[in-house]
Amino acid sequence: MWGKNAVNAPWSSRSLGSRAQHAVFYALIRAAGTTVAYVLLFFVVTWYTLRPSVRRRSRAYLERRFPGAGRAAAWRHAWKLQWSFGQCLVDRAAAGLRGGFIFEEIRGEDPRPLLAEGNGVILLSAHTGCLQAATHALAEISGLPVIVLQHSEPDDVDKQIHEHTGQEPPYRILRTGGGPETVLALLRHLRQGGVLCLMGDRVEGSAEQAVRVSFLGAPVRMPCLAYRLASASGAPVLCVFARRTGPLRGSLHCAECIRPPAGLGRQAQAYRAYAQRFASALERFVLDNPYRFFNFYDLWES
Amino acid sequence: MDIRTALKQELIKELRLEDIGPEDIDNAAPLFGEGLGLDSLDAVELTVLVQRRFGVIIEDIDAAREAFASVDALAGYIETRKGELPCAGPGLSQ
Repeated sequence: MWGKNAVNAPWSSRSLGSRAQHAVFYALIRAAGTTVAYVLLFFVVTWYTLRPSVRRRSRAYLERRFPGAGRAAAWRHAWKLQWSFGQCLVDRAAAGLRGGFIFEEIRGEDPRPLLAEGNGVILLSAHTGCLQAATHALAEISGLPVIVLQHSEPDDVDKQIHEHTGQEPPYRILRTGGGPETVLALLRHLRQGGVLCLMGDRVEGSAEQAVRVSFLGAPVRMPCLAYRLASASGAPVLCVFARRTGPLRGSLHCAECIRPPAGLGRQAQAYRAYAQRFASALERFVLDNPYRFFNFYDLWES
Repeated sequence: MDIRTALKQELIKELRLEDIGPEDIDNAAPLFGEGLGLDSLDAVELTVLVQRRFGVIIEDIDAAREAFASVDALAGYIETRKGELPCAGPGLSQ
């Protein structure tokens, strides 16, 4: 029983909490450590989950992941998803404020042979948590220059790891929506053998830059930038999903390597099969890790 | 063939611009957004096209910003860079 009255708001990276509320968590982590922050998080998550407007944000995803769930089960799933997301945010702040995040392992396909090919590598990920910590680790493992293509909004209040430390991150951040110069910078970076990290589950820009694929039993739109860059540069696309495995601990699941051929051109439909492979890999991850897919808007165009 | 005409023909062919001829493209109009209507991702194919067809690699971001301004600007960039390169790749006759 998920409720049918309201329509989800479009996707936004803005936090539910205010700047002051984030500051309380940061101060608590600094003064008392992450365990105390988790205790506060428990009450904050419970408070938020009691609010129908917050539960509606995850409804589209949870309805598909847990079809037919009753009212109590739906509430429990929503709480667990918010709890899992909150833990990732606390860990991210703690990693920046206190350090000590342990990146445990890389599962699945070993990225090191791909990194050694010298053609650049595109790490295509999704909103599954602790990706920043994973990127830090990958940048150190690879020894290669890394660019992270990141979405941000003026009202974003939750800080990145490097904003807590005050140090330069071991990678360069480029913002999405930067125009043709940004796209060219990404292409040049790959041609020089660099690593590019970006998200494959959120569409930004025009509809022509995305393709329709099937995900959890219904059509969604996913971006095709990664596959276009791969076709133009020769870089392989490695589908990677970071996963929080415990307090200040995470792992990286390298699900699948996709190699679009050269010369596919600009028509988005030419990349549909590759976007579908990514969607299928993400679906397998989500089926195994239902509370690790932080989707708080209606991805399904319902 | 004039480089601007060759460039416009390549743009139409490689970017699969429909219902448009070289004469319809204003040499001074922007390539991206208003004008020819390319979107930011088209910079990928445009860069590949210029390299493959004219043997010129567009790598410098500031130069690219100017080169992507219009057909005139891109043609000027290609002409300048072809003159600088000892082996500039395929010629316009191909």
